Amino acid sequence: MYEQMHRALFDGDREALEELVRRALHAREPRQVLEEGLLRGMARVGQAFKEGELFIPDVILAANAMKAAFALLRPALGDRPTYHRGRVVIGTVRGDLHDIGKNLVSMMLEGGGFEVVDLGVDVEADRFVAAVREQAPDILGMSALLTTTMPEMARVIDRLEKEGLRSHVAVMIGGAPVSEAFAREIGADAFGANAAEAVDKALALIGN
Amino acid sequence: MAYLAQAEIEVIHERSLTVLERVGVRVHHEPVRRLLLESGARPADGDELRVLIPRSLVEAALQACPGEVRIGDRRGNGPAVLRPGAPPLFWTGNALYRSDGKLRRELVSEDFAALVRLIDALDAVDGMVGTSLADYPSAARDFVGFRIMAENTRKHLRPCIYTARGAQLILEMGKVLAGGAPLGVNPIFSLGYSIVSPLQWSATALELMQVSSGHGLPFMINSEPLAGGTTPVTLAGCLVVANADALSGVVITQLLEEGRPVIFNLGFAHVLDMSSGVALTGAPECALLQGAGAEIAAFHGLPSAGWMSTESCVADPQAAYEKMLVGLSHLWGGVNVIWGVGNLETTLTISPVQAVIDNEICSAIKRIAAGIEIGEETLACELIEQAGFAGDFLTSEHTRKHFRREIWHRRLPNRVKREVWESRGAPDLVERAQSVVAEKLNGSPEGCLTPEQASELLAIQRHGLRELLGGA
Repeated sequence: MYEQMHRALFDGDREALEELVRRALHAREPRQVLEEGLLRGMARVGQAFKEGELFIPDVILAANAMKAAFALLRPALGDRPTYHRGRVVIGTVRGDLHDIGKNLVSMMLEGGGFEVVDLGVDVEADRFVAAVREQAPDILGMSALLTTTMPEMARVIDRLEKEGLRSHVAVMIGGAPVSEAFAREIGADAFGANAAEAVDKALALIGN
Repeated sequence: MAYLAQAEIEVIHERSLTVLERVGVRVHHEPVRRLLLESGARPADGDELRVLIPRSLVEAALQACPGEVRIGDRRGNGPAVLRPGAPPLFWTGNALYRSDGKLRRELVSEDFAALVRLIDALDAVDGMVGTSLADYPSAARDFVGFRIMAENTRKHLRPCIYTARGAQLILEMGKVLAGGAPLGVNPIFSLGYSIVSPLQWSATALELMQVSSGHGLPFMINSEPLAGGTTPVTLAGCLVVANADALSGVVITQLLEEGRPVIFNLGFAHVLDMSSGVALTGAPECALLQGAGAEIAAFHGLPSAGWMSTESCVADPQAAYEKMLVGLSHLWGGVNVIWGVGNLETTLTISPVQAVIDNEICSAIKRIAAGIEIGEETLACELIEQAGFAGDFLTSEHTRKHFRREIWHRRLPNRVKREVWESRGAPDLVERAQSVVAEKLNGSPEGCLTPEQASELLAIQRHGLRELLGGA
């Protein structure tokens, strides 16, 4: 049965996965269904992506199927019903309307087991700071596609420092013109060169 | 047509018009939004930035655009005329870094000046595009870069704009260079900007269109779709969005300046690599989308653009084949401006060595574009009869008269036999290109400005920097 769940995740087949979870709930321990069926399946999806067997749209569909299946499982899981490894607040910085890179990273992070709070595009420093305060994320992700908006990332980090929040959150940045050197320069904790790397870096940041 | 049949273009265009009517565009600039609404566009419920554009507005704007765009320079040959069917011009590309062997380094103004001098010396490259300059604040890179370009080449200049203020300073510099002549007569520089795909015009783009209106200056309207990311993954669906993107730009430019010459550029189209998440620029699908984009531009009666680019991080066979593949495909599609000479790494980086190699690619494409001339003189039947079976045409006057034009003669590619090649140290293409870079940059630069122009441009630059940074 778990093998079938893994197959459904590989196929991004939400309905099949939901049906399998419903059936499993009659016979098996919910925590085991989550771990052996869903989480192990997502780990295999992640591995297959790294090996080039699956592609980005496959991972996104798998993550969506996982989310739906988890919703069925949640009531049976009792306390702390979460499968997330960490929480990420993410957005494109002020002055920048570019969405797709940030969305791609969000979706891949979800696929990698993170809970993602997406603030959208053209996000003011104040909103990033407020979201860090309210959501208490493990990671703050910022994206920029324009060289003119990159300095805004440094401004947000400064604001986090001033508000005494910097030590509570790891900062990860990305976007076509952004580089490792720039991340170091502005005091970010990590730079993701692409969506897949962003997931690895995020896992490293939360100590996985 | 190489990529799309007339009926297929009509279907795509029809669907793009529907997209503009039903989805519309988001316009992040109040004055332009108001102008659109006053001109017949409709507001959309629940989103004050969104404007629905009726087809009548698009049709009127297309009517208003001139079918020809003059691209001038300071070489004294008069402007090139871009129109559907005209042979391509080749320009460099925007970049953030410079390539140094396998390394990537910051691109500072000194590197940029050297790059411009190199481009000035490359015979098949027609224009210079601005890049980032790491030693200046981002809001100064456009006008400082423009001054450096003007100082080091007389070829066409295409600054990449960071702020509307930068564009104004460039207009002032342009007027100095034009020596009082109207900027639109022999436009020694042109401007352009990309829509945020899909269907969103940023304030910077619109301010640039606005402040540069009223001079007859060419404007390149770039749609920059990402198939599978910001548009449908199907190339047809991507073209529907890209055409709608660029048409909305045509409407806005023509409302701001009726008759402003525009280049309809669907040629910065990417496809998303579904493994790496990179927006590809040198894939075969880029050639298809961009060539088809030029055919759509021709359908509108407008000149087009596209790029020849690569994902390779270094000047190598991948860079050469991807750029040749897309560049040559652009010839079949009728792309008028092919941009990207020297670019590597998905246009992030520019390489002097690759620029030298690309110059050969451009030159070869220009040779192919020139085609086979048919006429009594070139058919040479009299000569064939005279020579009979002897077959010795080498000594004929006809050969001496025509060989330079008929046979593309180049120094960079290896065309000697092994023994000779070995005797020269067996250099490969990259090594030969490195020697050309060194050779072209050897010697003191020939300034391309009169002393008066140089000091006026510097004064404008100083003024701009003072505004930005304050102080004296």
